[in-house]
Amino acid sequence: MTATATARSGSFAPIKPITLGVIATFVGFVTWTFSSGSLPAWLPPLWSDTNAISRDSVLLVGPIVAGAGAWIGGWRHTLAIGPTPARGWTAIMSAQLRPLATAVVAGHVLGLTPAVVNAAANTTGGSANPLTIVSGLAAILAVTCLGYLLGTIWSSRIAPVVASIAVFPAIIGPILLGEAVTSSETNGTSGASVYGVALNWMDVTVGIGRYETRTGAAIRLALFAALAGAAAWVAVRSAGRRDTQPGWLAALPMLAPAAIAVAVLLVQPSLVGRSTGTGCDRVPESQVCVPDDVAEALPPIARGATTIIDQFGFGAATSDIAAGTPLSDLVSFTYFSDSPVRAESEASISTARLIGGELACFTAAFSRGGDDALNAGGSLELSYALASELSYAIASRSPADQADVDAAMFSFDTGTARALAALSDTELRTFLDQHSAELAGCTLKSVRQ
Amino acid sequence: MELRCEDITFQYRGRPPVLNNINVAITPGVTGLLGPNGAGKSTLFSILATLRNPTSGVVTLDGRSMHGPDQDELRRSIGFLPQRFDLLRWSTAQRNVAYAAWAQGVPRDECDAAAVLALELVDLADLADRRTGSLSGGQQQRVGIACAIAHQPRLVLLDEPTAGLDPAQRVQIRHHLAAIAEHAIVLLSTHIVEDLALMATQVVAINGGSVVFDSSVDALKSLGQSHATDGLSALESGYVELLNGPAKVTA
Repeated sequence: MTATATARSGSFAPIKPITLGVIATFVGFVTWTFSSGSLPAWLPPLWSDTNAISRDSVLLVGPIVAGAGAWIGGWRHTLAIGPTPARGWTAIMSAQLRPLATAVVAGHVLGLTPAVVNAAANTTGGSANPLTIVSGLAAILAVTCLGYLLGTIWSSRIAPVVASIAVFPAIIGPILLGEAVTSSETNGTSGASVYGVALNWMDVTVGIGRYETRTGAAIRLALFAALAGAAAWVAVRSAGRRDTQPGWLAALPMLAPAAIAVAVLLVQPSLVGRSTGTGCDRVPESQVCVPDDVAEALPPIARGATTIIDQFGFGAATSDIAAGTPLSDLVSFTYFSDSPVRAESEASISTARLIGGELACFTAAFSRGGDDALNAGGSLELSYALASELSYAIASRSPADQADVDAAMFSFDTGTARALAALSDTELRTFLDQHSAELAGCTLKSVRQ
Repeated sequence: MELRCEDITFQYRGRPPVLNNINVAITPGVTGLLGPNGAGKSTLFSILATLRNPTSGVVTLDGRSMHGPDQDELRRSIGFLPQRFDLLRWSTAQRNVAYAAWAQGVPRDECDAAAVLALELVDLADLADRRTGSLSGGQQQRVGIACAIAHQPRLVLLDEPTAGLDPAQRVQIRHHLAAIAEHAIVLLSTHIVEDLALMATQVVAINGGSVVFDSSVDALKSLGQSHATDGLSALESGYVELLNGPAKVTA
């Protein structure tokens, strides 16, 4: 007992690899479960689904991860390593948290993999939104650190339960703040933190799309990163020198996320202001907001719709399909002949939806790419909505299945749909012909104007 | 090797001093720290463990201040076992001790060897692979001691290490501490004065924040014999006399 150890090297994580494997598997399973619910309905846009899974699955995974963090955090004050270990609490906390963080991140990534593979296999362009994915990972790390901090306060027997419940506001708070800040960005739609291009067509504002904005993702990323850093910092600082720093002072960094939230709210107008504008044309009381990139997708839509009408007529199109005409035959006449067909139903309503989907997804999404286009202004959803409106307008003229059409119109009760439905066949065709150039040129104006 | 406290005072802001001009010098061997509840033992321990800074005065280990710029380095020379601790109950004794050694700065690839050595010192080598949750209270206490000494500290601080143990287990602990004290300063906080009789070379008693006794076990016994009390041993009588009387005894 004469030598004193002085060297510092290597890391020692008391948590067993098999335990980490179980945690990673569990997190991955929960994430996958979250995404698997939407697998059967995975119609395009697939990348946006993937992004949504990354963001929203934290709501389920977060409490689990926080519980695990609290469990490990509880070791700190129960281990017989004394209150002032020579290696320092930063290294010890790192050794405890790093394996857990690696496990939960790996589990999250594994859980997302099916969604990513599916999206990659079914799209010819686009990608997952890196900012959304990163903010999802930041959220997981934040709740892990927060759980760890709570574990250092309570015993490891009750801390996991307390942490699992207590972190929920920390998870939902940044998401809600991002939604609140960006809700005005969606121009009156109920999209909250999602991007909605407000298309003013025939003097009606149509809510289009539910997509994450960069602003919303960036806000979440900042808040979760601040939360993770603050929790880790407080956990380290509160471990030593108790006489030189009151406990409440050591906890001050936990106010950092709140300070960021306040700052975000204060600069909210400028945040929102930067992301509107492009391609938007203000008209009285509302905007015609068709970003430049979207314009590329609109001519094919207009041409496709016109082609359908030309080939089948307003009524014939859906009635023929309802009678059993394969949709592939229909679309073979159109611009989208090489696209796969998903004829889930022969009812006119489904057909109308599929036409809308074909029009939008196989032009805007598959040929131009998912989120790349979305980040540029939500072309996919805009296209989809536009095509859907057209499709319903066409479907409403079908003599068959009128009841279904009425039901669809009720469920798809937008002002634009009703306005289009009120037009006569000639008026609608004329409208398309007249406005194709405007759609392509991003100069669509209010009809009344 | 010497631990020296010079004029140590500690007080919380706006309150009377908890420790008042503590002056002691401790050399290798087992030193017992006696005192009633509230006497200031725990505060002194926390200062020696560098968890707290003294309000005034200085603590040195081999002449180097433990609360100065060398603190991080000197912390590697300290082994501290709090009165209440827990272990990784689902993990083996060896892994617990190895983890404690790593926390105290032992290189990762040397931790297992350090754990084995420490467990041998507390006579638990045969149970190194047992989960600590399955060990008895006395065995867990010895694992805790092994955790405190695995990094081979020069100063070992043990807060009530025999509390709650049966007599046989206490005897075992005494033997182990005596072995450890051959190469380190072992400072033992206890209420059980009999624990000191067989292993302590020095006794420091604190009462009301001040040192009231700093001498050998034999001196404490002598004090007890001169104030014999029915039913108490000489050591216990000496301790009681210290707490009741005004006498201050230093070597």
